[in-house]
Amino acid sequence: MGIVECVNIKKTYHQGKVEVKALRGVNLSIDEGEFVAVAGPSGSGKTTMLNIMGGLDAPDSGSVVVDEHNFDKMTRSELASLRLHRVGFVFQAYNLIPVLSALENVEFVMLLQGLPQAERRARAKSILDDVGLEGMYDRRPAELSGGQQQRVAVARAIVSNPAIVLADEPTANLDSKTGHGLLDIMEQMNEKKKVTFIFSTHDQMVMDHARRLILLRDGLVVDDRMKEV
Amino acid sequence: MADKFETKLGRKLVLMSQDSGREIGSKAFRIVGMFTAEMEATEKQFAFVTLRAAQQMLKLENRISELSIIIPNRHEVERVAEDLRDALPPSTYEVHTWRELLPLVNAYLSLFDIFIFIWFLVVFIAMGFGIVNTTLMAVFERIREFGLLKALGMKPWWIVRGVLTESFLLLVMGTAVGNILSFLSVFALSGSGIDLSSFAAGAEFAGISRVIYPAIHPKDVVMANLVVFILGLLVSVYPAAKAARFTPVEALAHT
Ligand SMILES: Nc1ncnc2c1ncn2[C@@H]1O[C@H](COP(=O)(O)OP(=O)(O)O)[C@@H](O)[C@H]1O
Ligand SMILES: [Mg+2]
Repeated sequence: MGIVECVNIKKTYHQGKVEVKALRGVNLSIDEGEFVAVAGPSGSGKTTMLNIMGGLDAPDSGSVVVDEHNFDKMTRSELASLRLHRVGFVFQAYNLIPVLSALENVEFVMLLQGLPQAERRARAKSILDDVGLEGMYDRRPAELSGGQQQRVAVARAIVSNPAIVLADEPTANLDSKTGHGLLDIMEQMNEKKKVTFIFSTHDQMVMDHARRLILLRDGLVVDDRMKEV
Repeated sequence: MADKFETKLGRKLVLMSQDSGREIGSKAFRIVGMFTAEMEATEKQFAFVTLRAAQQMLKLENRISELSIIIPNRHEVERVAEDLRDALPPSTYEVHTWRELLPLVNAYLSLFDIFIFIWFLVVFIAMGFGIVNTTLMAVFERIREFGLLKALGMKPWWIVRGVLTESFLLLVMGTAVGNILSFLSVFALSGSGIDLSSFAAGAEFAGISRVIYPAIHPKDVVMANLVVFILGLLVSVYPAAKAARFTPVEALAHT
């Protein structure tokens, strides 16, 4: 059984009287340690799919199982707990906490988990070093470039050794060179720490980095192929 | 009074009244002193004579009709009256409290209590809305932050707790400042009192004295603070629940 199992996921948004079928029966199985891109044009349902896999949003029908937890049977509090311990997020808009330093942003998740201060410090520093931010521990998000902020976000997402990291268009706000750099970092983390990465994109360059490409169109999977590296 | 009777100190005045034999008793008195009271009504109401003279005039011999007792603490009135009723033979003495003898004042005071109650109600309702408003604003301003915290795995209950803690701190600061200000103002005014002379006509009608001396009762202070705290926390539950109910997606989409 894969680390993520989605069966026949459907999701319809209602905007006044208009119905938007964002997902129309998506099946996905992702194994531990994969480095997967969910690609497709804007509006094809990538964000909706990632939100559902992370338990941020509930599908209208279909089942989601992450790390052997079936979302159907879980309360919102249990979902929060699963996210805290097993799921990392990287958002398009970075979404760091502006009043905290880079180090504190990374520590924050471990603070919620109740880890002791010394361990939090040590792990946060080591992970920031891994993403190439040594010496920038005390900078606030506003004092970091977009690429650096997104690296902090990646560090925050992987620091608690999650089963999966979900990244919704992580490079969309970055220039292509910086985006490349970020993907390299994600790839290194995937190889070094065996973290499963699932990221969405509509950028060809980003798709080329992925080892598996899932193509969405109008709420359906139209292609799903592995690439030989 | 003296002006009205065209008289003054040292001159004579004749008082008349029904005596104990239901006839008109009268006696001439020499004015030896005059008094000023807070209210003109009080001055008109009383003339003071010696007990002996009054007993002669009313042909009472050695008897007296009424004995008034002033008790230092007004909350003790009922108890002292009870004790006196027990101690004195009921066939000879009747014991009444001022509340029984002045039903109008009594009714007026009850009415006044109701007014005070309504006033408090209005103030506390206004305060409740103020707190809800402030807390809701503080919550809506940070919907994105709450969404992020939830996405990172913060439980809804923690968010409720966070918002409640915040309004608790707000209440602590608010009541601290409020208490200090009220103690200071009461302290400043308790020496000279609040002079209502400019409203004297109205005050006289209401039967209260012209200068009010504010005082602090510990019980009132504790009650007011307690009500503010409990009410404040209760009304904060709504914004807190609101913050916790937003799904992370809704919240993160919120700009
Ligand atoms: N909150 C929403 N309310 C209404 N429609 C939505 C909402 N979110 C997404 N949609 C619609 O659902 C479809 C899929 O959206 P999304 O998952 O964001 O696609 P993508 O991330 O691939 O651009 C789009 O047509 C979008 O307009
Ligand atoms: Mg999207």
